[in-house]
Amino acid sequence: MFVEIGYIAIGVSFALSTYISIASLVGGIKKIPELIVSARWGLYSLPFLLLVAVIALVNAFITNDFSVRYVAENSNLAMPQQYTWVALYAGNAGSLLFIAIVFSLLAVAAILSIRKSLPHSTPYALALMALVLTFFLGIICFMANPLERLPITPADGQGINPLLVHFGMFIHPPVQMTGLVSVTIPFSIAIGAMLAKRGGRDEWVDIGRIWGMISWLILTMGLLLGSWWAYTILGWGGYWAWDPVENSALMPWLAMTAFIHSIMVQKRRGMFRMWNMVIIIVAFTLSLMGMFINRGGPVPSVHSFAQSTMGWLFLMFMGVSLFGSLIAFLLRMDNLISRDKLESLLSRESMFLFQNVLFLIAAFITLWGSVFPVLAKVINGTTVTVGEPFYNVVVGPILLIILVVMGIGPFFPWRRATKSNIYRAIRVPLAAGILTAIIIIAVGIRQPLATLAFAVCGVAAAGIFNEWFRGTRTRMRKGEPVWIAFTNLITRNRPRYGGYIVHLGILMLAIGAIASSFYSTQQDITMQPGDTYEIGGYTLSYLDSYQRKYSDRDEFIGEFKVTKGNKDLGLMYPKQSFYREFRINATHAAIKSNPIEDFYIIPSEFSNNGEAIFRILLNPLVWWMWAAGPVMAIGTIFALTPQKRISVRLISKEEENKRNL
Amino acid sequence: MIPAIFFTAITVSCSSTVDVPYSVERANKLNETVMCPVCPGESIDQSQNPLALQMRDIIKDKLNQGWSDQQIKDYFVEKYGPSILLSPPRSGVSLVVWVIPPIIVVLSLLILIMAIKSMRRNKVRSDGLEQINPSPEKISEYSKTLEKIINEP
Repeated sequence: MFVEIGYIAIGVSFALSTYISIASLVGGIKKIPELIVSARWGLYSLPFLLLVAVIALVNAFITNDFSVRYVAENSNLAMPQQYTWVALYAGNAGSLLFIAIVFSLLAVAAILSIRKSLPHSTPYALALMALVLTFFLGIICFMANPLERLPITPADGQGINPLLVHFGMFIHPPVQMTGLVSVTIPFSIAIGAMLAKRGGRDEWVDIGRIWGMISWLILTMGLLLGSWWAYTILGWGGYWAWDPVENSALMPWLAMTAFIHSIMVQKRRGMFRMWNMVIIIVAFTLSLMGMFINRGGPVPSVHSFAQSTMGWLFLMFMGVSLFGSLIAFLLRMDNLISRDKLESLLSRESMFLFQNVLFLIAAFITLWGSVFPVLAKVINGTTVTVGEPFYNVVVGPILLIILVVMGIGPFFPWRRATKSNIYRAIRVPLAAGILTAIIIIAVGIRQPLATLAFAVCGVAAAGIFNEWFRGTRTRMRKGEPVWIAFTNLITRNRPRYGGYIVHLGILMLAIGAIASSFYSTQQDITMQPGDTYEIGGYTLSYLDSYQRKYSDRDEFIGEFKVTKGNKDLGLMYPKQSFYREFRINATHAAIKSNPIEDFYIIPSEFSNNGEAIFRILLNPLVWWMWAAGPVMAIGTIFALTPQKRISVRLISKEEENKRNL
Repeated sequence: MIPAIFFTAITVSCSSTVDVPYSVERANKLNETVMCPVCPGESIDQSQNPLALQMRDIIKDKLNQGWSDQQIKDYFVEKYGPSILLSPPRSGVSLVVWVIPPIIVVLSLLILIMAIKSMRRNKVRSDGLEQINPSPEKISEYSKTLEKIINEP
């Protein structure tokens, strides 16, 4: 019964969403307020309709209603109840429903946030959001309905993919999917403004920037959580493998990073109006590309669980939206002429532009590497793998240059700078970078690439701290005590100082990535219970191994006692779970983590007499990568907190509108 | 203080060299370049699949027999085809994958330079500031506010 109600709710929401897009667009073009209002209220009611469908699905899971195909395919009687939430988005149809409801909520929030401040472009933005939603709901309705019934009810379901049964899975997939779809919001706001011929007024920029940063933050968190999940469960000691699906999430992140920076130039200087439109179109296209690769992925990937045959639909939608937005862009280009011109190569504007180009280059090369195997197959019939070594060589250096730009870019003044300005601004960071290199070489690190990379991080870190120090000192001269001076400094210009905090997070991430990719130690060893092994100052004793039987899996657990020097680090339990029905092995690493290094044990193979192969890894500084997550979140939120602006108008608002400035 | 922590962490963790036999290090490096044929998107270094374990053993054995890295790679290519290697070969069709990225970089930088040049001589839209002619009261109000912002603690 519930299922039928949910089924109807999905149909109604598709129809409603179609109506919203048409009504809003027509209302916007023909200036019919009634239509626009009806579309808006239609949107407000969509989350409720979709909630009905979600409740129906959850209820089917809880009551083990295997007559519903999706439930039968993604759960079974043995599945623990709390995994209902994971099962909800474990398969294709359910994840689409999840995306639809999350997106409808985001769209409601977005429309509420812009409808007063951007009355002219709201109908267009609403129409665009509704179009995207209609696309998802159309697929759900006609091709992948999670509430579809099976002709014959099976006695038990097939169960959930065991790789998904992990704490990281509770949050990584939904956050990542939310991140990808959330790019639609800044896209709609920007393109909406452009369609309404308001692109030349920078009124959309503030709110567009806020939504861009929200989307960026969600994408960032999705990527980090995914890496963390890979690190703890995929069991090879790494966190990033340049897998096609990872790439497909990285590309929109790169483009959004470019966007949230270049939008600042438009906010401050009324420049880059066309460029920002291009970037947000690229970001949106790449996010659709991400969903396409994840769903219809033509390239093999560890993420193949949400695979389906409907990749081509996403590809088509991507093509249509790219084509459509480019046409719209060409038609509206005249409205997008900048208010000001670039004055000098030595200016913050140029640095932003340079940074943008680097990010887009990184995104396009990643895209190229991801699609090349498909191209080669289609054109030449050969199968090629483009994997980690390729990206390390090709994208690695670009990321390093980006770090340099991050280090010195913020110290270039707006408009134009003289050479001596620049020299004064970057001499301290540069000296710090050289000092870093010297110290690192002195303590015996000889890897030239690693030394260079650390030195670059030194430049960027010194730049940020130097700026904080100088600002605080200036305020202290006016008699403020240290902490008040510092707080005042960073709260007076939140976009800037929030940005610095995010940059610090990026540095933590970079240092973790550099250290762990150059200085990780890895050894596979065969051990009998009772054996002891020493590596890198750690002593590990393999005490025992035992087996535990569960309804769905057999667990093989190794028990280790680990000491470092005289310090007892306690017991560690690396384990391997064999899921009988799926014939899949899931590995759970045992990790002792601290800011210096991670001690990491993965079981590779257990044999019956307790003998087993273990992989021991010493991964330096990985702790900093996970710590970077909260730092970046705090920085972003700080940069977004509203700030009271003192403004004086030289002419009144009405006058300004009348003169159409 | 935070930079100091950073520093100590870097130097402590990266300078402590752990003695891993050269052959093990070489085997690990090779494992990272060979794909696991049955596990989608994972190298044999990453995968804990029995086949991957077997292949790791093969690499260890071949290294002990004195095979070179290239010989081992060729051995796998012969057995499983060229897609077994994670790094596409720098010859034949796959050469294209290596050639395009530098072209992308050069082209983008060229476009950037041209864009900057054209932006510098570009016409700009007037923001109408010159036709505002604000009243003297407005101007003094404006400068008062500015003063206030500058002088506030």
